[in-house]
Amino acid sequence: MTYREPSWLAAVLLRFVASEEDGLAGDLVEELRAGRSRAWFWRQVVRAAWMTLWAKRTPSQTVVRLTDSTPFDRPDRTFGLLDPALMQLSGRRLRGPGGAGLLGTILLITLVLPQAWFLLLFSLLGGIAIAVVLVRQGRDRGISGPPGRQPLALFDPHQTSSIVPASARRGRPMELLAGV
Amino acid sequence: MPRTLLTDFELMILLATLRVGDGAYGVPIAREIEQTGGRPVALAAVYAALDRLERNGLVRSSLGEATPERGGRAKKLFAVTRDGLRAVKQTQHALVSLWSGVPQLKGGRI
Repeated sequence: MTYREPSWLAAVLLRFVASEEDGLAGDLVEELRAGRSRAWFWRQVVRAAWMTLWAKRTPSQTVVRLTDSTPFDRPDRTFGLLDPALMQLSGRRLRGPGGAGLLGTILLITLVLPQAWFLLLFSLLGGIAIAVVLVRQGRDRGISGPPGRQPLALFDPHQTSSIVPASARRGRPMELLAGV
Repeated sequence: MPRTLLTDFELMILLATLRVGDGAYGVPIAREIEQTGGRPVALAAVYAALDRLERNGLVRSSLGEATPERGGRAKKLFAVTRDGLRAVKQTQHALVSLWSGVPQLKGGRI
């Protein structure tokens, strides 16, 4: 017996929004195979995705906020920092639907020009390769300082003894400052 | 125990679960609401409400058997708890009390 299957994109999206134990994924597949249309399936998946995003943006738990202990900070700043759903990885505040925009971009690229993913992959690998080369070059050169001087000369005991008074070397920094 | 009043959708979910009886899960509950309530219901909304009701102890869930019609996925079966039944009765009592004595609602016509 052959069953009607959902489109792969809808199935992938459904896997993001509903776990196997939820019952929702099984129910949707059951209804599809019982005669519901693929358009109906898509509508249900999109609504589930929307509800999941909405639930993430409106946490039900009202815990003690950091503003309770730091009353002088602006509440909007503190709330933003405490709510990871409002922050991007770069640390900037997330505007608008956030994750939905990213998801839309991914869907658009996948539908319109899937070859673009290869370009992204090559760019990522190229960036990693350049980073590795730069890090290795930096290690080979060591820590750079002013030309003609050793980078760690400040901590050289012989040089230090010539410019720092003996009293300062015994742990009296104020006399060192007075001497300068 | 404090009185628990339900939202209209929660009340419909609980009543539909009670009407379906044993083996109630998302699809028949949603179908019951669509047929008796006369409004289309998203399955995700049904599960979101059931999840909330379960967290509040008004329904309990168990996993059924996996079937090929569901792509090898198990059904999540729901049953109303005693607290859930009490909440339905309290909500019914509150609604009936509100309904009674409203002159505009007397008679069969709307």
